[in-house]
Formats: sequence, structure tokens, C-alpha cells
Amino acid sequence: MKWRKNSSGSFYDANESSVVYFDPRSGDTHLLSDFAAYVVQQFGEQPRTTEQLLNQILPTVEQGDIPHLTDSLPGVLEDLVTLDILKRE
Amino acid sequence: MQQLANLSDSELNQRLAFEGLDLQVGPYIYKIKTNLPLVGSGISTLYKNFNLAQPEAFIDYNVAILSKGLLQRLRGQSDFLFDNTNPFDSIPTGQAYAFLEWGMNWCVSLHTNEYLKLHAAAVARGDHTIIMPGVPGAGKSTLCAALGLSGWRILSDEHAMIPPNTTEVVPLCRPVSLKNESIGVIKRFSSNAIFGPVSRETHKGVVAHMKADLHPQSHEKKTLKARTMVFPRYAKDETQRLSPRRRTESFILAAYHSFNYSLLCETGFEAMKTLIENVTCYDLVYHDLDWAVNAVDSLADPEPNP
Repeated sequence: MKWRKNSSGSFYDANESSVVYFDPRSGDTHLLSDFAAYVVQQFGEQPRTTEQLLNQILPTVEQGDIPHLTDSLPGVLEDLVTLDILKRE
Repeated sequence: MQQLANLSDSELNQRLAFEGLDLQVGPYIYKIKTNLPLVGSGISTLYKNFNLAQPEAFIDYNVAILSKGLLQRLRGQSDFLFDNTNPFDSIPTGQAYAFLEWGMNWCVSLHTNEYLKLHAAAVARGDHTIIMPGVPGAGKSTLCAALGLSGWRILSDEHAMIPPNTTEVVPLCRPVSLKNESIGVIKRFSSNAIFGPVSRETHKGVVAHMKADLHPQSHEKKTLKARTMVFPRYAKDETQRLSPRRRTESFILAAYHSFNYSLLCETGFEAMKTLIENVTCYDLVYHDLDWAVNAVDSLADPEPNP
């Protein structure tokens, strides 16, 4: 299964544990966790599998965070689908 | 510029009843007509020091509150009119003053989209301007009134209007709407509070408006740079506190309190981003008005470093 971003939104990142994301397609504004926002930022035009995303994200995070992020990524992706920010393909 | 106070009672009543009273309210000009003595009395009291518009000036909002015809008068009903159309159901004449004020709010809420508009009070002292968003019942207007009676300039009780991509607040000073217990609270807070007609049994309960242009600069049109955003909340049983808020959470809450954030789409997002990036945000939980005023004072007058 692949994941694709629905649109190219805008972020407001104030270096807090949450990030504001504006989706121009729906007009909705979301308060995302900093990790969820980081996941959204990894998407370009092409869809990604969960494994591709992990390979993209894990080299950029601290070693100690890897197990937690690996475990939480599927749930974050599902949440982003629920928010209509991502879609499954 | 001529003030409403310069008109004699008969001149004021003549204008209200026939050609309309053209008032400069912040950046807008309202033409107001009424045949209700209660409304005329409220305008005379609460807008006494407002400037009259220049002759032939463009009218932004043409409003009236009228009891038309014998049947409507017998029923004790009146209508709010906007551009001679009736956007709302008839209301009891005894509530007409409150409805005039709400109608004047509605004009701005619905039509003014050149600004990011927050449902918020805005006050200023010196160069410190504070935006205070709040849901109805949060204690925003009560605090706004108390600050106005404590030397702060009331920029608005209802609309914080911000030109996109600035942190400027456009002054739109109009009477402060107080409801139910807040009326007595403000009367006890200061004997200088001046009230207009009391409207009873409205959908918000008892409503009275307080004269808001108490500051020498109340009618200046120059915009003021916002420095702080305070989210007030009256809570009888909670510990009073003034505590910093995260910017991202404040962004979402301020957007929730906006009349037109969603309507403005990306412009709204960028406008809110610019605003939130440049203000410091606080929660203010209070039940004692003197304490709350002191807390807001402390934002404008931080204690010097030892």
C-alpha cells in the first residue's frame, strides 16, 4: 500500500511540540504533532510506501527515537488519512 | 469635526427620524435611522462623543430600527433594517437598542473581509495593544469594560480587525455589550461607567451597553501594533492565573474565534501566522475583576529587572 499527500499545504512551525498545517484543498487547519507534520513534509508529488517513508525519516532522527517512531508511523499515517491530509493508494 | 453632542435633541431626533444620523465609527460610516425614542436615547448617551460624518461622505452601512405601522406598534414589535431590507425577524421594541448594536456588529461581521477579523476585544495603553479573543460568556467584554474604566483605550469590544500580513489593529470603538451579572459587576467596579438602555429577556438575557469612548484618543483612526494576545476566561471556582500559551495552540484558538479565517483561505492562514508570530500569547483565568485588571496591567508595565 502507498500513501499520497492530497495537496501541498502550508505549515506554521513555532518550534513547539505541535505544528499548524493548512490544507488549501479542504480549507481546513490542523494542529499536528511535530512528528506528524514532519511525516507530511516528507511527501513530494510521488506516493510513498510506509517502508520508503521509514527509510527517509529514520536517518534524520536520533538513534534512541527510532523504535518509537517506527512503531508510531503506521498510526500517524492512518490519522493523517482520517484528517484527509493523506490518502491511500 | 462635529460631534453628536453638538446636535440639539431636536436636531438629533430629526436626523434619526428622517434623513438618518451619519456617524463615523472607526473606519466606517453608519447611517442610522429610528423612530423609537428608546433607541434615540441610547444613541444620544453612548455615541455622544462620536464624530458626525462629513456631508456627502460614503455610507458604509445603512441601518435602521423601526416600528412600522399601527399594527406593529400595537404589538410592540420593531424591525432591524439593513439597506432597507429586513435580514432578521421582528423583535420586541423593548429590546430594540440591543438589536441595533447587534445589527451594527453584524454589518462588520458579515461584510468586512479586507481584514482578518477576530471575535475579540482589543485594548491599548501607551504602545501596548492587546487582543483578547473569547467565546460569549468568557468574560471578555466584562474585562474590556473594566480595562476601559481603568485607563486603557478600548479599540473594540467585538471585532479585532487586522489587515492581512500585519500585526496592526484597526480601531473600531463602539459601546461594550454587557450581559446579566456583568452589568452589576461593572457598576460596582466603577461609578464612572455610563450605560445605555437595558434590554430584558433577550436571547442573551439582560443586556446593557456601556459607553466605550472614555479615552482621549478613542476616536483616532491610526492603527496600533498588537503585542499581546490574551485569552480571558471567567471561572468562578478555578485558581486565577496569567500563564503563557503555546503559539501553535493559540493559532488554532484564534482561528476558531475568527469571523472570516476560513473564508480568507490561504490569506487567512498567512495573516494569522504573521499575527501569532509577532505577539506573546497568554491564558487569563479569573474571577476577581480587580485581579484581572492588575494582571493585564502587568503585561503593559512589566516589572523592571533587578
